[in-house]
Amino acid sequence: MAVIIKIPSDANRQPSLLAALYAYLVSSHPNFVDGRSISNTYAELLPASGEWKRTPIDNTIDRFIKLEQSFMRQYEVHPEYFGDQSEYCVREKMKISAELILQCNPDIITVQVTGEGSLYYTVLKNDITFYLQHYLIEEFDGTDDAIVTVYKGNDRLFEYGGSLAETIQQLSMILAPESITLPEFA
Amino acid sequence: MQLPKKITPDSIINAVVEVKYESKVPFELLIGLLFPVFDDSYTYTAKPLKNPSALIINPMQELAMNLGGQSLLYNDKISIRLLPSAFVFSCLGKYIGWDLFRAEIEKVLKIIGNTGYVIKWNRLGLRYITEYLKTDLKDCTKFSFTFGFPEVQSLSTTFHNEFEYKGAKVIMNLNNKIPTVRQQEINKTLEVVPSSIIDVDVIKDPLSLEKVEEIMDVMEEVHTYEKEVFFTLLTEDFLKTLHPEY
Repeated sequence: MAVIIKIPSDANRQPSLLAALYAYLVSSHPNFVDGRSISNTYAELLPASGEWKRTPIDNTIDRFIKLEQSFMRQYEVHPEYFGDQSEYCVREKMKISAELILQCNPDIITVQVTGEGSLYYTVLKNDITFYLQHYLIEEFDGTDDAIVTVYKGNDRLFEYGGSLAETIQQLSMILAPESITLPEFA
Repeated sequence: MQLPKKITPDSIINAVVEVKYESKVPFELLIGLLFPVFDDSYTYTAKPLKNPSALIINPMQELAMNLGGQSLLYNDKISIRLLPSAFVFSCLGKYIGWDLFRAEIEKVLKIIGNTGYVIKWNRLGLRYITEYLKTDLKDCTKFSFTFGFPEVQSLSTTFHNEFEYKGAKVIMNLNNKIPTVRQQEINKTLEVVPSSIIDVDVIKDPLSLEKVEEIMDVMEEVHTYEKEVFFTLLTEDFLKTLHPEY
């Protein structure tokens, strides 16, 4: 049961009265809730739910780290696949495509480095499988390219090649009806 | 109550410890100051921001933006999220057991504490999420999952509860028989599998601790509370099936 105390609308013009009333209510009623500060116009007692901030969980971190570790192990064996690009640059580019794909929370994801200087992702989500090849081009001011092929079961649904951004956009549109969400682009 | 030291299987899908801190230097600076004090067993990485549009348009921008991503440290056992007011520890892959997990956290906090840049530890949260597939929590917990309509057979139930326990805040979530789509084995067809979750989050705050030893004592205490809540919830018969070791 809640007791509602209606405070006159001009109470703010009498700050000493309001302060005295507030102090009395806080000291004498442990469950008193000041409705003004919590946008509760009915001044009802609020449940505690939601007041305590949960310890944060991020399920994508584990997978991101494992994917990066897998990539780095392969890169250390074959750095020559990526020409003159620095390890830092290659690693940062890999992290971008990895993070984009991980947004759809795949059931299974693997990455392989290829002799063409690309990253080959195999991704399984529900009954969808897609293969995305991210080409890490050497020009620093250029845009990376990508090719994607999407299968539903054994049926080929879609193929696309373009910049990494365009490819992810197209992939996102194809996967949306399958309830698979990739990041939206501004 | 005698608490098991180990259960098999533990079915823990997430074990997270969050330690909030107060630093005497800005976060951007703190990251740079902490980077050299960790040895080669730790890897630093910045997970890109979740708004990828800004990342992709221009590679120059990509690299610049990545500096502002989620800062992570990891070794072969745990990952650490470095946040402006908190360090969040979690196991990399499977749960490694409390003794090992605690030791890994302590090692990192001592490294950070010894730098002198963190001046206070002011909150501790410990959260364990346990998942049981194809299991009805009604049969294995002391929670009956009933309400005013006893004739109603709930297909799935979610229960959220917040309470105080020995001076700590507890947030408990029970999800019973929530349908999830799973591929149990590679190349097998997908199936809908009911998943039941016991999620216990124990929080101790506000704190104002200066020494790492003090926050470690609180961590031990909070871990015991988590175990007390979790094991009190389970029925004795179900606990026996988990092969408890005392």
